[in-house]
Amino acid sequence: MSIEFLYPLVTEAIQRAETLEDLGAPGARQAQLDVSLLEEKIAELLPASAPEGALARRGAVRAALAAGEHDRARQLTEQFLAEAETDAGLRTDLLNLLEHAERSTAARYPHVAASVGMREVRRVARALIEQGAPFPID
Amino acid sequence: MQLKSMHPLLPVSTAVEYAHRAAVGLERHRHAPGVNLAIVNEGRASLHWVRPKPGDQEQHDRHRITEDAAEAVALALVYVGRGWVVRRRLQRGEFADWLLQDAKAHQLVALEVSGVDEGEDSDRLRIKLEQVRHATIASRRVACVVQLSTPRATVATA
Repeated sequence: MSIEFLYPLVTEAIQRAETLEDLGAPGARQAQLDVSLLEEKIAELLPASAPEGALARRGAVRAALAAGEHDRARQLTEQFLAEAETDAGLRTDLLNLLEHAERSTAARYPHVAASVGMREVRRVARALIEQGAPFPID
Repeated sequence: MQLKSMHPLLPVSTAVEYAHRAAVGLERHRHAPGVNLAIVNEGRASLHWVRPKPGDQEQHDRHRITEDAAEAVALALVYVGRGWVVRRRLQRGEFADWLLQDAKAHQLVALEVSGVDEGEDSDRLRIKLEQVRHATIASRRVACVVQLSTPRATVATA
């Protein structure tokens, strides 16, 4: 795949996702996940040190968060931060995206955030996902 | 306007929809193909389009028509006037709508577009310039406000 192939696709995907979001349509999250996947593909072709490579990395994480895929967003961030060409600016941008999402979630669930903490909620959620069953009832 | 031939990386569907909505948006102000577009501080250009079918206007949201018509006019204008071509759409949060390439200057350009249906909106350009100033993707940041009733366009650098 080339940039010339992927750029029209990501343009189309972003426009579709934003239109669905504006309408409050249930497909908006899936559409954002499509955006995230395309941005990730673009990131594979462009180095983190190039402006458009950094853009794609921010885009992959931002769209994953918009899709409600926080685990994916975190994994992508870890992957991008581990790249040698990721500079301090991109590092800050990526961490800010996660932090902003974290604050938004905490604001939506203030009781949970105050009593248990979002970090613990995430840890339990990940453990449940990894064990492959929603409730550990034996 | 032949947006796809101007901007090869613009999706066909986007180019077709923008051109159609620009035609609807301009014709609802009784403009006809060939109408003069006043470009503030730069001169004039003429706009050409394939005429929409009667009744097409009723099928679209009025605000959406204004926004997409402005996108169409702005993208045609920056290509014809400056030779800039579309690279890709930017996500919300990047503080601009489009990433363009200035091939001559080997420079990326962040473009924010806004549409006004009719009347004066003197604050719009100032607000859009303030927004696009935060775009980090490009060293050159530009806002374009298109007003359909005149029609008139203003392109300014942040």
